[in-house]
Amino acid sequence: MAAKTSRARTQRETTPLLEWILGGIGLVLFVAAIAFLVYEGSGSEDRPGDVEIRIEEIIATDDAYLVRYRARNLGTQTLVDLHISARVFDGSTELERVDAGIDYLPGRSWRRGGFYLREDPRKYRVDIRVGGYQEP
Amino acid sequence: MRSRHSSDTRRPEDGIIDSGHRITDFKTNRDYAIGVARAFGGALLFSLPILMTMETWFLGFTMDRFRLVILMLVLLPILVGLAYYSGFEDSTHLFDSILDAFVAIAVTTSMATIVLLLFGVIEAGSQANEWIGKIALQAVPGSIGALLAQSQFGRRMQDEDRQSRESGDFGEYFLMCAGALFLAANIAPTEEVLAIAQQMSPWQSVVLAVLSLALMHTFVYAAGFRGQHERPQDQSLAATFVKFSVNGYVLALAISAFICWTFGRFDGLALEEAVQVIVVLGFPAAVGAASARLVL
Repeated sequence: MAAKTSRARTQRETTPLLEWILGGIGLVLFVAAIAFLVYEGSGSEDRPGDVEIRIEEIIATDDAYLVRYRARNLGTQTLVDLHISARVFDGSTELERVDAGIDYLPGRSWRRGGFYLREDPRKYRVDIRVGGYQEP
Repeated sequence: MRSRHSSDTRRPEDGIIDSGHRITDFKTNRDYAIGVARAFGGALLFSLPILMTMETWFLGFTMDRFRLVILMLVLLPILVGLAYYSGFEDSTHLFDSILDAFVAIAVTTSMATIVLLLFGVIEAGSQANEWIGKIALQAVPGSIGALLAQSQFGRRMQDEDRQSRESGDFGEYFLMCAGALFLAANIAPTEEVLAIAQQMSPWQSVVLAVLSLALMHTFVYAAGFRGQHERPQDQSLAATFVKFSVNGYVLALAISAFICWTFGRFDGLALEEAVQVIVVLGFPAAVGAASARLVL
């Protein structure tokens, strides 16, 4: 028994420094991840998806105008199969409508996408809005 | 991860390891770094399927946070146990096993971060809740793989003449759980598990359950794989079958149910469908459980 204890102690003394460092990093990562997930799960309020869409740039291509957007989910819930549409209006007349979708939009995250429009969006009013989604 | 043992010298007369090496010893640390590289490779090998599966990325941020925490908390003792049972009976202590488990987590986390960044699955601008979930989910198969790489590739190269720990009955059940968890966690994120369960008739499910059970027994006792177990002389075939194969299959089903629950696979499912999903996932879990008995 004494030999066994002594052996354990001796072995601990010969444990390479690298092992101590990596083990320490692993411990910190593990505890931090658990703490973060528990905080996420309990501390933060649970808000439904709330999508804000911002047009980032408009690029003229050969036969269309590319409208690049960024969709940010201000809520905490993940939205799956989110539908987005862009409609171009001349006054109250709808000139065209293009649909797009985002597979997954996690809470408090953003995704980029684009619409290809025939009409020049800089000359008309462009209305981009979100449609339906699924819960994961 | 245990590379130090290759450079330790034992004095048989007192059983004490000669501590000729300090923790900062260059050779000891270099040997250890080689072991870490092996673990990195093992983590990559064992988690590549889910690193390259889209459903796994999405599960990382859609799955319930508390269930992910429970999965991680269950994983930790399994890693410690794997390190313990794949170690050397005369030299591995519980403390080393705990240290090995955390090293496996560190190695897997860095591997998964590098690969997912390279794949563009996580981006520098992503929110913490997104990438932490994605990486944490990779830790399940990856860290098991990191430890398996040690036991499979390392032990034979370094120390042919030393025996690995005798696991005993509890150890056998434990290893089966670890193997089942590994394969079930690899496959459960995919949509195919639900799809297969929905297109199978109840009779097909029964046949699959019987096949899983038969495979478990064949894998361990009859197929002639390396590591095949001999049936104990004092036990009948039926007793061995019930003791390890039937009990092992029950454990594999329990692990499948646990994994399905953590991944939210039961949400919205009727009981009959949930049972079918368990049987479907129980198939790879059973193979994983049997394989774990062979490789460790």
